[in-house]
Amino acid sequence: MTAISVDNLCKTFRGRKALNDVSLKIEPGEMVALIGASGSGKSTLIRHVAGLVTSDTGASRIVVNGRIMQENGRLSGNAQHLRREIGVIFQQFNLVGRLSVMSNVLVGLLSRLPGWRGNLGLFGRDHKLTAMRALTRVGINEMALQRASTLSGGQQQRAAIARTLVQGAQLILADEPIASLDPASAKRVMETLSSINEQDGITVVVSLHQVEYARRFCPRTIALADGKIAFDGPSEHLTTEFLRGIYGEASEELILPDAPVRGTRPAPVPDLREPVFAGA
Amino acid sequence: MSRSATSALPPRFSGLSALRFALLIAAAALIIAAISDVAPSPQRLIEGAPRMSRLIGRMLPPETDLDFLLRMAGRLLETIEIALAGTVIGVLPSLPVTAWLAARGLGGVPLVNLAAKAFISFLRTVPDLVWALIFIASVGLGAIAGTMTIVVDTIGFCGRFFAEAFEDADKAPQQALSAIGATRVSIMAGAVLPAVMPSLINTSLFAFEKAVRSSVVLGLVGAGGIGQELKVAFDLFQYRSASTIIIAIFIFVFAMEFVTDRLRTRFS
Repeated sequence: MTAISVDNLCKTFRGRKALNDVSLKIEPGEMVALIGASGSGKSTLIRHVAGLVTSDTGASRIVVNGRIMQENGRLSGNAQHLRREIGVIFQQFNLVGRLSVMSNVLVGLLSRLPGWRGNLGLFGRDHKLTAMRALTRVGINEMALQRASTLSGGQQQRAAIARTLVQGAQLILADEPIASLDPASAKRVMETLSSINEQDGITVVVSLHQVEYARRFCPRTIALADGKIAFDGPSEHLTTEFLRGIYGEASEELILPDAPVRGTRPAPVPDLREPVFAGA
Repeated sequence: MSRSATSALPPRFSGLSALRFALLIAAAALIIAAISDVAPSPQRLIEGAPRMSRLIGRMLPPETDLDFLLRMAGRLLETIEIALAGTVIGVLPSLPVTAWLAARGLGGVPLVNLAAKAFISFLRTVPDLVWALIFIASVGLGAIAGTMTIVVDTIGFCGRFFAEAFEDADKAPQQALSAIGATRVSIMAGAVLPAVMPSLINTSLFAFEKAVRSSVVLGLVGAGGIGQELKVAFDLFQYRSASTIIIAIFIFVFAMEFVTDRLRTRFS
């Protein structure tokens, strides 16, 4: 049973094809990077797999854990149920800042408890222990009782990962999880994702802006360009030259870490013959 | 950004059409007419000044008879009871109803929302004194009519601001919960309510502050509380009693504002 199977997925935003006939398969236990320049369709693809948006109405299908998430532009009837098996991590962490880290993690249990109990916040000792284990796992157990908003970005993202652990997700979709983090925090978050992939066998699909992280943490990379799959294979095959070939000028934003140093140029001299109004 | 666009100054009165000009003139005419019709002229002010000072003279010294003070203390207690009971009874239904509407709003029926909003603005736009007159006509003079007025007023006020708080709540955590298959109720309980709680408490405290002020005034039309005593004192020309009541009201409202201010900083 494949973890994710996408067939002929198309999505049009205001006449522009954000996804153009995308098909792919991801097996359980894989760690796959999704790379591409801004606007290449990475996030759109992840949001479709998570069932947060529906595709164009043509023939298409997204199957997660052997069950249909959406088909021909319509969400499956049990999409809400299926979502409970998918952990989703966002660029902006999406925690409730006023709640403690612990409460934010416990929220991952909401769909597993009888409604009234979770909704009233009546979590038992077992649940709290589960949450603490998850927090220890991602290395922020000492912050369990702090408000989420007091944590750094990287810590908040790790709390979001702990939430997916508590949820018991077998598949984690991470949409640009490190795009707003500093390099050290980004590394910690990628290491955390990589370790739960290796040790727990959880399938991880992570969209990334910089190919360096893909090479380092993900055995397989899928590269999108203009809504199409431009590359799908082992990450070490993604050489700088290869990326130039796919993305041209746009490849620079993907390969910043080892981009060649540009020669210094004299600053452009402003033309003073005509008045220039600031802010015009 | 082209050079020609940056070097040209924008026209000074960009959109001054004939219609706009006419509307501006009309507005100016209306303001001038209003001032000349109802604002006090300097002559009227000068004529009124001696009468005002005579009135103040008759108000002093304030009445300090112990029986009277005790009676007023009782009335003041009734006033605070009207404000407190009215606010609590008004807040209690506002919260679940607006939360439910907001939860529906996440993917619900616009018509129901519209009807509820129209009803709430109706409660709010009819002034409290008018509600008081209506309730006095239906349940008779006294504190019960005052409390009912405060309830209606609070629902109108909280209904609007609770709904706004729910609508302005950060969408990101809600999306995170819906992405992991949470129901609407769970999203409300797990993401929306915790995020908007300070705003709800703040609004409720403002509602109470508003209720304190209106519970004082409501007595003037007979809806119980200290205001009723003030009206009686003026009607019977007992100006010394009136001044005591005015001082009491001042201290009372001031103290209540102090308390709600403290609570607000405590809860935000």
